[in-house]
Amino acid sequence: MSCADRRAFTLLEALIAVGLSSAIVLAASMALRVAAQSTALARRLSDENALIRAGMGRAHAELDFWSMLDDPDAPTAQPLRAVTAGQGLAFTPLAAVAPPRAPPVPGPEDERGWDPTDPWAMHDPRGWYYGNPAEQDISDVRYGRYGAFANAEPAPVLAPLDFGAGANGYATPAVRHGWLFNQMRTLLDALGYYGYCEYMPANSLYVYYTSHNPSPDWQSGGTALGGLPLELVKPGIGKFASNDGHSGYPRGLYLLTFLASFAAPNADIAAARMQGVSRSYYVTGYGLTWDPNGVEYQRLIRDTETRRPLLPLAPRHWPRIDVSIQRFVRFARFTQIARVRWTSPLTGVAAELNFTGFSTTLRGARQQRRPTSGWARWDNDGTANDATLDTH
Amino acid sequence: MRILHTDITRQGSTLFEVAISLAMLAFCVTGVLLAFPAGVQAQQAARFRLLAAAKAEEMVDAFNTIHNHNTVIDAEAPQPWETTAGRRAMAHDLETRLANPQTGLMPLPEAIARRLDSDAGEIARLLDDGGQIYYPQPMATTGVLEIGLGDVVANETQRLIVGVIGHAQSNAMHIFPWKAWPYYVPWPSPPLHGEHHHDGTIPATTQTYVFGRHGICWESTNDEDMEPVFDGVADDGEACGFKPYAYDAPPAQASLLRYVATTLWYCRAKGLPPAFWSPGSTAAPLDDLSTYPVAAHDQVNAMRFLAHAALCMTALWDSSQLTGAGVVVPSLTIGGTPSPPMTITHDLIGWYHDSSLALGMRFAAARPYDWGAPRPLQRAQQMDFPLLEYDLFPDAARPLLSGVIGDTGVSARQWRAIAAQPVRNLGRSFSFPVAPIPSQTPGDPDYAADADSIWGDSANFTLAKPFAPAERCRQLVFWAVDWQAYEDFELVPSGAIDAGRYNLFAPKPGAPFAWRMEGLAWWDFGLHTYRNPEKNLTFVRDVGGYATGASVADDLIKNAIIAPPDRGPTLDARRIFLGRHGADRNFNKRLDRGPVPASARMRARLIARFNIYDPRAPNVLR
Repeated sequence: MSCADRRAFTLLEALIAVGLSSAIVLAASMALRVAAQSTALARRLSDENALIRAGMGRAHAELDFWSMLDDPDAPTAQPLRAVTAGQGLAFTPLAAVAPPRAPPVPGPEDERGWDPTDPWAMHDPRGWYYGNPAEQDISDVRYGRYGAFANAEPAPVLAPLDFGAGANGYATPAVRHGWLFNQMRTLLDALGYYGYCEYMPANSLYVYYTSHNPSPDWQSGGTALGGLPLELVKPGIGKFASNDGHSGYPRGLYLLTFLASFAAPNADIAAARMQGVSRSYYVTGYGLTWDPNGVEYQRLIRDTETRRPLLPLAPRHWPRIDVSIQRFVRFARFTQIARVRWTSPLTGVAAELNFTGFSTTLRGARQQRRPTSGWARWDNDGTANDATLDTH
Repeated sequence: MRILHTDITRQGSTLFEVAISLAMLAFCVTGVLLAFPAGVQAQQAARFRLLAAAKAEEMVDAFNTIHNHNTVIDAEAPQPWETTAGRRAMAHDLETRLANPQTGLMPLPEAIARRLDSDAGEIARLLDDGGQIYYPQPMATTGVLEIGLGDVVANETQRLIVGVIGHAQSNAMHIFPWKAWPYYVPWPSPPLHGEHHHDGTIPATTQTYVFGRHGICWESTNDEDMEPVFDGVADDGEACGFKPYAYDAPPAQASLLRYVATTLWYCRAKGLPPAFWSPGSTAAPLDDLSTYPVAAHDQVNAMRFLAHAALCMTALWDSSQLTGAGVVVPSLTIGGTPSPPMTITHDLIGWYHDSSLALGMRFAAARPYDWGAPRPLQRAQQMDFPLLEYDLFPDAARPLLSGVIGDTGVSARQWRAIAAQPVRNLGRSFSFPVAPIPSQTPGDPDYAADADSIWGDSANFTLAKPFAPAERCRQLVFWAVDWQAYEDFELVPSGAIDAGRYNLFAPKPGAPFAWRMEGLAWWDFGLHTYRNPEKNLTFVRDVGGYATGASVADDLIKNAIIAPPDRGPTLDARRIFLGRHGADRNFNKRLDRGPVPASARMRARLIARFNIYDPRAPNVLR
């Protein structure tokens, strides 16, 4: 009896025990697997979030400081300071391209060069547009020679006109207004189209008058009969005025950018292309209807989006994160698109967070920088301020 | 035996005890298992907070930096309900400004929004109050025409939905629908003239021209002395004014001299003294509107015309003539009043030019409520706009304006307008010079007393009053929910669309309403806050019979300009306008159906809240 009482498990008990044990092991195994997967997923999400957060931080820093386009601390990373044939780029020091400073003597219209402290007050008559806003690139100038009164040249050459009674010439004694058009030409030559549009006041008309040049070719400095540079006023030549059905008159920013855009260049394109990208428009409006494959949009991205890896060196199992910034004008809006793009190290699938954000203006960014290298010190008392790219 | 029995019972746990133990173990394991997904959910919530922060920044950036570029609308009508300019489409509210393809905020279809639960029923309450919930479009908000964009990169942002909590304020009027002031003209310039669509909008006594269609000199409808400046006949029976010189024949010195003489005649007709056109010195321009006891707008217009005519002389005379003794402009008599004879020189032309800009700039800057002269195109800016708002408190003396919409028989009402100061020299509109706009100034030709006026009680003007910050505060609320998992997320109709978003042709005599529905061009680049916000994604036909995953690339409106399918009075067009066929809401050009039945409810998880400043006056930052 006592031996029987001490016998081992019955087969049934053993089976139950084995079954229960298996259940326990299985449950534990599943729990472990789920836990491991969840932990891995949470960690991956956490890592991605941290990297995206860092990417957003980098993007915002870039919106504030423009360092991808011009790194003040790295002279080799300043491709937009070059000068070619007297024309600068977005970060060219104004002193390198602007005409020499001349004081406002004998009058305010005679001041030349760039004064970074001038507020261009709305009530200052020298900032008013004395051209004819209704004059076109194909106009016969029957409404007069506005270039005789306001011109970028002090003694401009004006075209002889002939309305059937013989040609009459016009040798203007001295133009009354030269300051605004000189400022416009200075900014255009110094900064390219994007910078030109940004520096000019919001209500500007973007075409100045100069001496008449009969060449029909904008590259040769050709002008309309009244002296409007063809580069700025002739529509559809791929330069400044997009083709909107031939409104070849001086346009404001909305009309210039409702069909096309000007952009800050991609810092990584070849140096030889910088001037071209800085001085042409990109079709971003209705013209794209005839470009269903997006070739023009891809050109815009390629030429104007600067991209950098967030972490050039990182563990291989981390997602790859790129941050890019693209700046252009569209519908008169200065648009800054930040893109944070991450690629899964496991699947290769890319995802993107994109947003437009508030940004330091180009003018602000230029005033953050010294003319040579380094960041400019600034204090509101003005006594110890460094020179900047706008100092002239 | 008893002892043995006791030994046996102490050998191990009973089966029951083991079962209890296992149950407890299972409970613990389940608890641990549940904790892990919670960690994942926390990370997902963190991701959504990142996305929401970026989206909120983009929304505020876009709201504050995008211009009003509704350039292909009819902005004027004799009654405010006949044009969309005075209604919601132009409201300067965040969701109204951003709910369009260019800024990427789409109303979530109400059928789906009503299936979503949220903490404290916040979504349901917003919907009940007449608001909408929005989802972001999948592509970046670039303003670039969508058709030019490449394939859309997958993003999780579409799982975010956003609502704007807090009622929109009563804003300044974006456009005064009776007259879309300010008008801008090149400076200097002749009297403003242009085309009209229909002779019925022009006073019967007004001289019409064929510039292309039905042309008139608009400014002379407010000041008949301008008629000869534009196109007149002098007492000698010969033509005079701008048009005979510039339009009717090749430019000639004789016709130009008569144009200049007419502008001098206008100066005299307005009571201006000789010093106005013949200054002692041309060194400093005339820039003081108080120099002469003549209405400011008359001085501004007179110098504008004179400068324009005189500048034309530089095209037809040599500089040697103009810089020397000058060119004599003979007198011309119009209506018995002779113009003053005058000798024009280069310096004098420059002085006229400078003075015209100086007077025009000063007038525009100092007198936003004097509409007697247009504004220089060269100075278009925010401060030119008068502060106008609707009077939300009608009373017995000034009841709501009411009438009927076109030929539809449908009644309409609108609040009255109030201005910070009474508008002087209101005049008539360019589009409807036939229709008087009741003036607030007794003695004006179109003056009307309160009951017959359009003006409300100026005591209710609030735009310039002090305000507490909380009064200008609204809140963006973001939730996360996988609404695209619904089986019908691309097939349900679009959210409700305000009627003001239909770009309607202004009323023309004899034009039926149906014709007005398709009378205007609907160009994307000129319609910012119009049409269905989902317009580029909406289907143009019923795709409900398509297989899941079938291509819908040819079923979208996208950027159609020529005969857009959502324009017009036909039932098909109206269905498309309203998005009744649904939309490709993830813009993958395929018809998608999610796994979740429409009968199921989803819980939207609160992600983030952002307070935003809600301005009352339209403005744009650079």
